[in-house]
Amino acid sequence: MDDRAAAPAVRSADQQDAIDKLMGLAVFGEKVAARIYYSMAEIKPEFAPLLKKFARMEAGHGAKFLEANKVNGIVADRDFADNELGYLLSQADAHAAAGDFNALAVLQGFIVESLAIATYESFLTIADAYPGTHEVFSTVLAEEHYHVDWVSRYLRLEFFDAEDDFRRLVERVNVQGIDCVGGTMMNISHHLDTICLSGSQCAGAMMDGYAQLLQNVGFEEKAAMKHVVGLFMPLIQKYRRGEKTK
Amino acid sequence: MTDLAVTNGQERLLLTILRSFEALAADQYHRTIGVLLGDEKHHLLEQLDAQVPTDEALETTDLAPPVKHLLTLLRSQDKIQVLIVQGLILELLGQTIYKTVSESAASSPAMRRLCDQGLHANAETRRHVVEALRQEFPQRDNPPGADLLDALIARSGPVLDQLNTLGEGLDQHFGEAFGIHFADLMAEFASELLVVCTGLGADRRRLVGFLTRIMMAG
Repeated sequence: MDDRAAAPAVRSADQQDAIDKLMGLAVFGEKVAARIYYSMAEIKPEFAPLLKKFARMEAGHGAKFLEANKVNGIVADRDFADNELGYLLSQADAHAAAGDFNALAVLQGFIVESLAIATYESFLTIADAYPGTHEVFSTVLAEEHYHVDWVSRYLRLEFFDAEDDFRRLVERVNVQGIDCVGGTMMNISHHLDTICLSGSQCAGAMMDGYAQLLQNVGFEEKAAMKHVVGLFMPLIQKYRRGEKTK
Repeated sequence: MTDLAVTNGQERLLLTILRSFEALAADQYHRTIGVLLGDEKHHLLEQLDAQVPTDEALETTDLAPPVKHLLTLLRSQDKIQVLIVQGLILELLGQTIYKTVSESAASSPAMRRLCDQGLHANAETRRHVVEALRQEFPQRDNPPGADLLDALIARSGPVLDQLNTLGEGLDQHFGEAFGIHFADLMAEFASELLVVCTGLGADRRRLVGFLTRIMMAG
């Protein structure tokens, strides 16, 4: 039985495939985000009430996206999402098993949220083509910013006067984190182009957004940009050569 | 005159490429914005000419066609074009290359000394470039820096795209020899460019988006 309830807009097969994949990543990515915030809550009970609230918000985002999908004849592509999210989950599980709260904060609160914010912000420019999605994405985007703001404040306090420690943490988490999440950004770039967004603009927004978050916690501007661009460049080169990034 | 000769083949190849670009830049500065052509740049060119007086080291490699194509794209007598593409972008890229090679343990003493001279020339030129950009693009526009960014995007795209094409060849020829990797060069270059341009009022998000689009374009 096809879950596609209605297809109010006329889309090409490529466009339908692209939006199915992108919304699949959004729906199941939000579930992974919920799981990561729950893991963080277990590691630091003093933050558990807030982090569990974040987790419920993320799960709620996934539910809202599913509703929006039904209205718009979109079927979240679970296989695509699982393939993209498997590497992220294994990293998150490893950090959680090590009780590494700070690594999870950088991975989820900075890297994953940067991808989400960059793509959701961009989606708002075409949301009118998908009835009901503008309100959903606006709400979700505001809540993602709320999560990022808390993580930024936490990391600023945690690494107050310890910028070198923060740099080492970021370098350690980024090696796999950007390879994974940045790789997903490259892998969805073509699909973003297909639905009349710009994959490269989204990638640029993610890089700029993530660099700004690093600056907010203590990186110099040049160091932040060099660090982020340096991690993305190998992925971009693979993308340019038509190779899979993950 | 140089008292140390660069004899290593890879070093001579890199110096030949650098000489081609430095010579073109010097010619363009002379014709359009004389203040950018200072004593340090003259001195660098003399040293490069002494070390690699011909293109022989380049001609037999697969880098010759893309390098020549890039040089062709760069030829312009337009003051703003020269200021942005040569003065801003290629000087920053040159700085990155000179710095990387100068710091590479694999570089010969003669190569290191030449690269240090390159850095001196580079710093001298860049001081005037930033001032010239401030004069050409005063921050009276709204939003600030928009005119500079518009000009940079309009004029540098083909050159950056060709640089990107050249990137893989550079990795093959210089990756092992000097530990120069295009990805690292671009990271250093892009971060410098962003800092300079935001210092002149340009919107960083828009510039990062532009650079990402160029780098991702196949």
